Amino acid sequence: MGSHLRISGLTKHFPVRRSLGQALRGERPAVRAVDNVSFELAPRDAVGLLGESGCGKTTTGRLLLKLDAPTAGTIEVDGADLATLRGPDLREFRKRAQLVFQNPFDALNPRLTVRRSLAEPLINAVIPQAEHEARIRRALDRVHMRGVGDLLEKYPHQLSGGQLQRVVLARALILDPGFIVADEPVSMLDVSVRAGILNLMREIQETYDLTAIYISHDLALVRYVAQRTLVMYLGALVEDGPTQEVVSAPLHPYTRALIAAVPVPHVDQPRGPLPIKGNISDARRSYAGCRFAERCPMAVARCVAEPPALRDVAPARRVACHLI
Amino acid sequence: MLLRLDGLQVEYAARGGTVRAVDRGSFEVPEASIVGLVGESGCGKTTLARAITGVMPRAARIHGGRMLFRDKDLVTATPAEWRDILWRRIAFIPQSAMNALNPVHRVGAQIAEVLRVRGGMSRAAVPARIAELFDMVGLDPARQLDYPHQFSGGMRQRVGIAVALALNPDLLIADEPVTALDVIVQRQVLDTLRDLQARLRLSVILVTHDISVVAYVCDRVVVMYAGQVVESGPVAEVLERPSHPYTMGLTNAFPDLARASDTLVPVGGYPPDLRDPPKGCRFAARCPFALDACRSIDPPLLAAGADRAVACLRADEAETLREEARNPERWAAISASAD
Repeated sequence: MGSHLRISGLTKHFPVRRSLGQALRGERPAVRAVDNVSFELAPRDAVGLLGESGCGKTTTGRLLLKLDAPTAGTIEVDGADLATLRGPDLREFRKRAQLVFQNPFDALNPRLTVRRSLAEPLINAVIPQAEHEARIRRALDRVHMRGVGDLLEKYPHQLSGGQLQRVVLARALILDPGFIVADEPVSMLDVSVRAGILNLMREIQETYDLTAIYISHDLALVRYVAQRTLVMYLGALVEDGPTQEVVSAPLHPYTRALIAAVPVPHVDQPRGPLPIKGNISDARRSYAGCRFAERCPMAVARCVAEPPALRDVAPARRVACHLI
Repeated sequence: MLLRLDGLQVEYAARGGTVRAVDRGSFEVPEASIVGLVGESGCGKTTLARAITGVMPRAARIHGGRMLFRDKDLVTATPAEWRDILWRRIAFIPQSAMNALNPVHRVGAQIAEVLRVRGGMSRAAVPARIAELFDMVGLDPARQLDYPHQFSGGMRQRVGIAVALALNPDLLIADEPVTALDVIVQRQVLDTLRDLQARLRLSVILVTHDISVVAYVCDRVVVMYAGQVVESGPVAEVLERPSHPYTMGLTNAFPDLARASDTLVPVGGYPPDLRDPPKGCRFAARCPFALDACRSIDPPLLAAGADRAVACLRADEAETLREEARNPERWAAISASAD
């Protein structure tokens, strides 16, 4: 069954080396990778987490899978607080929540056959040996790899990128998870193969009872697989809404610049300067106001002084901007 | 015509024989235009681009064909002639230009080296020229005294462009110049490149896997598949009305933010092994329109209307095939046999 997630005030700071001066002043500089992020996912939601490198999207994904502990805030999965999960409950969570890796070329152990790689999660989850074969067959069915000859006895280097990514997906699905996090699942694949994997992810999402988070910098991909999109900038959630609306009518000035920057495969497309100034700011700084303010073409005095809260502006749409 | 490649072949010596990474490098680069060289991993686009710079891996050698640069055949150029050409006439930005700077030297000093050693510029003239180059690519001239780690990825890519432009080349070869960059920075770097190209009347060969980047900045596009150029022409023509089934497949499979039509159609199968390329058309095994003849005859690259070339036995039927190619069912039979 698809998981229900409630994330509130999620924060992760990574300490960085401090200078002597900072130590004497008692300062503890940190990269604010994720800062006060709150959202809720209903069972079977497919959500895209969109942002540029360093915006905190991958860190958020790791926190949701309990691969890292948050500095502050809570994550509830199906009513249970991740921070307090122990023993059998934690093992159950590890079965329910799965990660799909970014790079299929090194997500599988090169010394293990496909059969062994797929059996690994079953062994870890203490599934009786007798069930393994049937489970492996079923997982391969789900990714349309059943008919592929002696696939199970092959090693990763004998497979193409598309086949590898299908095996990686099969491995993530083999324990019937309720929740998957896919971090840039197709960024390493060629265009002609990528389309097949994207179609497969869509199909899995529609067929199986799953809650999915797709982490990506690629808006075109997010639009293809996710009904809802969350946009992050420098650790903060700046916009949340149905993907179609976010793409066709972005509200936050950052989302507007991001969407204007995406090239499309047609000659007639808008050119000219983007509605954004400067370069990405320093994640170590703390911001009194909006962290996008210094790059925002619309910023007013209030933006620098007061942090905008993420608030409802329309049904199912939230934006963190004073000007909307 | 600034550059004309005619049937260029590049081979790599490998264990148990040779691999012909480029089998048919044939295309033209007009004066003052940006030409996109597109294809998927392993199609030979980087090898072809490197051959034009004369800087190739030790195992690679040109096996045949011609590269006419303003009517001078570069294939037969001597090392002394190459020293005159590289950087001064033809400059390149390597694939990982972002990481190509030496971390222990100031950025300016690394550009100075090109100016002094390759350009023979006097020590006194160097700082002013670097400042001019920095200004040109949108960097603060004062930052030439900084070290590479003080620059962001996009800024280091701009330094790469500045180095390549240092000696006023006629042709710039950029290998995946924006691939590792975030979309906003990518757009800004592409705008800078386009702007410089127009201002300096440069020609650029832009090697990329991304047809949306080609659509954004290029005037012409050259599509490669399995070592061969399969289609070329003006961007507007080739991307909107592709004539080769592989180009049709590429455009079908490419996610598009602007269009509501919402199915991506994959191209099933995978490219052939270049150690043992198939007889006939190299795309035939993945092509929904392949005939028996396609499996025995390797189609030559022929002119298809004004200013376009395509290598397909069914090029005459392109109009009809293009319609059929929009139907996902046509491609499904091949997809089912795995990717």
